Amino acid sequence: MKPLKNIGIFLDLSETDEFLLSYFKKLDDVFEFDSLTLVHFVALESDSADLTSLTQQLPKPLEEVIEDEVLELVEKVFGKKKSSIHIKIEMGGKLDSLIKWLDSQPFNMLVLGKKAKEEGTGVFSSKVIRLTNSDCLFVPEGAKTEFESIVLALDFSDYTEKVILRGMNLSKKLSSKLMPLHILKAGYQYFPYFKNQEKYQNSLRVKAENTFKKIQKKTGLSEALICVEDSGNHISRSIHEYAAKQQANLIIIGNKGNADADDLLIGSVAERLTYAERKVPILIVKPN
Amino acid sequence: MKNKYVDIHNPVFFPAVILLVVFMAVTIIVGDPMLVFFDSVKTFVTEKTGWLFILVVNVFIVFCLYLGFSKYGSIRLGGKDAKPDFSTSAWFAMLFSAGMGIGLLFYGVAEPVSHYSKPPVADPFTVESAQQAMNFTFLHWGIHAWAIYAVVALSLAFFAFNRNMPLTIRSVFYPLLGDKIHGWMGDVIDIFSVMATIFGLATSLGVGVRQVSGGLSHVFGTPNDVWVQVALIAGITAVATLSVVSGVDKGVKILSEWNVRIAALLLVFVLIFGPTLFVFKSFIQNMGTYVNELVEVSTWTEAFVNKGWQGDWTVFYWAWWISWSPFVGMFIARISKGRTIREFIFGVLLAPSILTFFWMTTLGGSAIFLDMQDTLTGGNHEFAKAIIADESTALFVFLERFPLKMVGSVLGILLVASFFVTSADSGSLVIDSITSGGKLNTPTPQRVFWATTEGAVAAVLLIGGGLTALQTATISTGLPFLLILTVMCYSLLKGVKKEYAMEKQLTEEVDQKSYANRLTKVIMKQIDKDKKP
Repeated sequence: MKPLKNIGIFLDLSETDEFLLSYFKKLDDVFEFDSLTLVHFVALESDSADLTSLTQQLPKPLEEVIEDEVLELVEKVFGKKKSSIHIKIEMGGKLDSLIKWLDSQPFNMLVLGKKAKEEGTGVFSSKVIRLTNSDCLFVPEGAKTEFESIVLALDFSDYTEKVILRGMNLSKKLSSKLMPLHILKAGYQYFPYFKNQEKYQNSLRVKAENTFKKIQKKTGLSEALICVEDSGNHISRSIHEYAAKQQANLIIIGNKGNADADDLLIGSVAERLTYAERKVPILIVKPN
Repeated sequence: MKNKYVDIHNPVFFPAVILLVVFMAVTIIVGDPMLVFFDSVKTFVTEKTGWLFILVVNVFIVFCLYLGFSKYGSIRLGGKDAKPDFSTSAWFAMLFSAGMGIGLLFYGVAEPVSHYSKPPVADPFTVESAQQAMNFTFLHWGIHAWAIYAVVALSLAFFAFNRNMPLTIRSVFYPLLGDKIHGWMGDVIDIFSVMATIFGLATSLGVGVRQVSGGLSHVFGTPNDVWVQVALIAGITAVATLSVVSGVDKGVKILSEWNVRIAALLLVFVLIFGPTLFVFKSFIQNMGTYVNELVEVSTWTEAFVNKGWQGDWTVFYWAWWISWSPFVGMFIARISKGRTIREFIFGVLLAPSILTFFWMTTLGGSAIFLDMQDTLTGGNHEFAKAIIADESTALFVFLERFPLKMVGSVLGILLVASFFVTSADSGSLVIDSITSGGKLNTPTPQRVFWATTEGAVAAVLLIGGGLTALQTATISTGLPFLLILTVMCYSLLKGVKKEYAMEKQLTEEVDQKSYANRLTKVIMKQIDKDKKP
């Protein structure tokens, strides 16, 4: 697992930007990242008539105006501008060129904000999360800037090892408590004739624990696996409820589960979690 | 290794060259026992796994049609802004030349007449066997063959152009093996593809040269021995080398286009001097029969009465196309950037098939017609028997029945030779690409190396014997490749599903209204700032 060195943070010129930078400053204080790139995507195409008439009144190019605005915010949050902070303004309104650029950069993580007022993930954020190959940290506005406990959502898919390693990597620096969580999904609501639910859940638990032991050996994770029985709700709901109960400060989850179809760019659990979660930041671990 | 003269991927290039030398040496030194061994493998493959070939090749067609008709058909190879490198007519010409080429000349007359003389179910030399002959020929040269090529070519083109991976067979396995394709597993896949391509090509060149030599001997009375054949290989390899050096957009393209022109000339010649009306009538009838009986004929497995006919013909053909598919597939992939999946599927499946059907009807159909006409004047199928006596001279025996027979035969010889060159040059480019790690523009000396190596392999096998053994071995590789192709379908489906989802994400509108408001605020702030003294 590569150490976190190069981070991209998405700013959209809204009030969320200040919160996002303040949240991230705390992480930067601990990690001292090599490079923080503040990315702003000008989501309007250059031929927008209103925009053209306004920009004509500007004494300098729009790009520079936005850069100044971002810089102002950086100084407000970080004090004097750090040499590790860079600003990237992507003009032209082409999302595919933005994604191409993102994936060509050595980012270890992209950080996106989620507004408290709005429902859902925000169209732009959800697109970036789906299209990029980098890990994405999704921070709801108002999330606590504490890192005492981290939930590792494990489904024993190909991502599980990466999720654990990233968790260990963060907890080492932030001294967080790790909570490896697995939801026992029986799917019995589709099979009402199961006679012994308890026995079945137990066999699932034993199986999960055995798999977990093997991964523990490989990764060196010492914390025990927490198995939560399926409540009949969607798995994302169970993860959310557990994290809320434990007052976790971060949930780390793989991009996709084993059962997710090829045409889903992120799995249903990660998607619903990012959509519904309003308090706890979520780190989505991508394959690359 | 990369310098001015070579740009190769060592773990593929050297094992491939060493294996090539070892394999050839063993085949020549051991001699007949090798042929017996490969023959028994081939018999096993065709007899015991024939049903699997029949099934899977049909599945490929269904898969291709599904991709072509589904929403995934709109995906463009090379990304949504990619433009085709070649005009549609040049694209068709190259598809046709690389895909079937030499085989059309070799079997164009021989196969229909052979089925007509020895039909699998009907009585020989009857109207029924004639119709059946055309139907089976269409089956073997029609959309099934092209579906095999389409699967390989589309998978390669998709992963190379839409995922920016090297244009080699290993790239197709990315969804399954992940980054392991860059390691030894990928190297093994590529080495295997190189071997199959070289031997497939070398043996086909051997077959082709027999036909040119047979034709020359038939027309001009020149000796038809190994040395003439080797000299022909040398000459043809030299032309192929020139073509390879000039690249795919010059030599290969120009030769392919000339190929189609000469083929058209021969076709028109036969059409004008042959039974013109019959050709048009029977083309329509044969097409109708083909469409009508496609499912029945393509799923026929000789289940109740096994005469071994299918192993010798249908399964043989399927294995043959499959063993050629890495080569033809890579070539088709390379020339298909900028086409949508829908265009690709229908272009590759239909256009060359229909052209081939017309070719087969004009040559093979006319031969059958002429033989049937002979019986009206007391003949006893001497014409048909003379054609099937030697496949390599079948075309020339047929052309003898035409006026200006010298013109027809010379055209025929020219055409075999030029098809020969286009197979050799496109094959060399493919091998070169695989052994350089998927690069498309490699240094000239390296291209020359592969073009001449191919000619050398064919010549050595002709002199030392072993051509038949290797041809048999090539067919045997059809079985492992059949499985590889099935995996390719799965891989490709995974890939296009993701691609489609990504394209959809990119085309859906981002909410611009609230963003526009925020941006306006920033701009106004700056304007206000400037106004202040």
